[in-house]
Amino acid sequence: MTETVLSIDNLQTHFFTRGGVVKAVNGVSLSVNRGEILGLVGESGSGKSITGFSILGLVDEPGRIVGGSIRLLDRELVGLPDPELRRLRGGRMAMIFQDPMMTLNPVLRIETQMIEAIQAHEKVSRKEAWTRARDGLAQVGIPSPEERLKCYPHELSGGMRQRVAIAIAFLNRPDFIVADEPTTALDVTIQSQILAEAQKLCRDSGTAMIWITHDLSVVAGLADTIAVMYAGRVVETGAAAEVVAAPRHPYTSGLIRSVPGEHMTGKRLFQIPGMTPSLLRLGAECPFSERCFARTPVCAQVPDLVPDLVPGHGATEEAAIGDNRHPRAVRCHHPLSAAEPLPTGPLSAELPS
Amino acid sequence: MTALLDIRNVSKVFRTPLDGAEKLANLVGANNREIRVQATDDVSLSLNRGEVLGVVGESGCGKSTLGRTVAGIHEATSGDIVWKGKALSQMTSRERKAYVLAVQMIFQDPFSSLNPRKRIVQAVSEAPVAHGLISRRERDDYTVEMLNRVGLDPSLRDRFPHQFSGGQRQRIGIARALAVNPEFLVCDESIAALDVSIQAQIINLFMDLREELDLTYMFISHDLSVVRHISDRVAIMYLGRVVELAPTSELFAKPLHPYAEALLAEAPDLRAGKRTFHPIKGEVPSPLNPPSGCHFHPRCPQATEICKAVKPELREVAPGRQAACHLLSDAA
Repeated sequence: MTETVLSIDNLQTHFFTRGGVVKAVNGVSLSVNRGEILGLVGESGSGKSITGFSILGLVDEPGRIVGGSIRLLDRELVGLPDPELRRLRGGRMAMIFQDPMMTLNPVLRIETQMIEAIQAHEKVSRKEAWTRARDGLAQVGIPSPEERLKCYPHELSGGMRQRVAIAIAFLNRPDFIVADEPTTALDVTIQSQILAEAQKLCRDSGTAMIWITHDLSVVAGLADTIAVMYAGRVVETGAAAEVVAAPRHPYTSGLIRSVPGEHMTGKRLFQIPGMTPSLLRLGAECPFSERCFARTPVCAQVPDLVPDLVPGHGATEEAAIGDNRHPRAVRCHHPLSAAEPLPTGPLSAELPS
Repeated sequence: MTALLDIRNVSKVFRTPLDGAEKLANLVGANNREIRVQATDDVSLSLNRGEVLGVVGESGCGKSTLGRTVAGIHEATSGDIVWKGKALSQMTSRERKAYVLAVQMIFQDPFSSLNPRKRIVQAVSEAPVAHGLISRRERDDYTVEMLNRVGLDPSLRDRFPHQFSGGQRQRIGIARALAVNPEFLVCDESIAALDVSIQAQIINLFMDLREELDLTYMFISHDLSVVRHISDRVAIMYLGRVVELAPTSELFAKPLHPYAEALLAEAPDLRAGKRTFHPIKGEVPSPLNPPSGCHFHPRCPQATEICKAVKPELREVAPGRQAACHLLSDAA
């Protein structure tokens, strides 16, 4: 049985700056099931982090959620007053940041911070809270957790700090966690340890997670589903293996093919020409169209995110590709089909601006 | 054929000497010691003309220090660098100057490696003018030529760095390095700060330049898929030492050193699909206090007694392949 823990519908978070309105999140829809991980992938400025911040109600001025809905189980989060949001944060939902020092207070011992996090949401004795904190650290693979509880954050390595931050996020067995590039600053071998622990914790505790990253290869091994963002919108979503194996959006396809792989050694890499557009000057056209090889006049209108259909079956709901739990959807007028050969060879070099 | 660049037993030690107060405290019985980090430990590598050598390792393994030593930014504590058969320590100041121009470095962060108050034309043409490669009057034309070479619109040459994106700035950094006609480029994590779609553009540029200008690269990175793509040979470093050196395809087909094996297994791979992780235990030890013997022994699943006591030398363990591990037998 799968239960949708978090569902976002047409979320819009805009920043009202002096230079104009920055549409950082411009109609994002996604959902995450219990115990599953959604990999939210995009380049810098694609709106992936702001989507995460919006869910937890952490968007600061001049940013504002101007439309859409975020539902955590049966509760609507958009428009929830601050005190109620605060009760949910750290309890029913939590966030893991790229830099664990954003989570940890440098002048308090780890135990003080962890016990505080438990007692803020539950009436338990200090002793019981301490036991839970210790077990929490042990779960994320920290050796001799009793001693570590006595440490200050600066006494721990980067990987250990990130583990503590993850342990704190899971302390109150939340329904939902946003992890914003938590392993980007870590070494490969440490990253792999942390991915393993996060994956296991989600499975065991039933927590749903959104793992935000710019690195498709990280989520390809970690996530159940993938959502690819470009210029504030989700352009493609579906089961992780399917998206990576048969991308439908030209941007996803370009991203995947520009990653060096085994059979390409020494050859020129596929490159997406140009660069990401400024979010200040988004027009009515598909924002990827100026970099897209499949562009036609119809791309002057932003396409909708539509369920992906098996070619030849017609537009029936039942024919959607993928299993029912992880429906695929793509936002493109000219989605690539698996059979269609992709253009070979590199496209033009970076377009001068 | 002599190698273009030969790194011979290069060690670099950084030390923080005791200050007066600590010395005084030692007199009355305290036990303050000088802080000493052995960033690179007896590293020997050689690069032939036109070759790309990838240097891979986790943070603190000394790969950047090695690159900086080669580029002449750091002086080696011991050992020497031999350029075209001539040791750096034997060079006259004129030869030394030629060396420093011939070996250029491209840095990781395109945001901090450009002077924010200098226009691009100044950043690119300053060094060639200062070294007398071009005259002051030629600087504009020269900058146009350099920017064209790295695929940047030359009409933007009067702009300041903040007006460019990360990928464009990295191109400017490359143009600046190329402006003094180098033969050898040290790329220290040069694409790590860029977005994925821009990374491919810069990798392609590096490969085009290699062909056009017959460049030799030392390509330092933590990203195995990039190193695999661009390098002819790969050196894997761990806590200041080279633990394995092999031709790229052979290394990725079958790593021999246990650390190399673990590193290759842990690197996220887009095409491997969903998987469970089997990470190696433990963390990279502090370079302030490295383990005895083989630095990797506390994390190594196959470590034996000798690994704790004796430092393994980098030696040939199979034809064309070198590794520093006691557990591998010599090449027959």
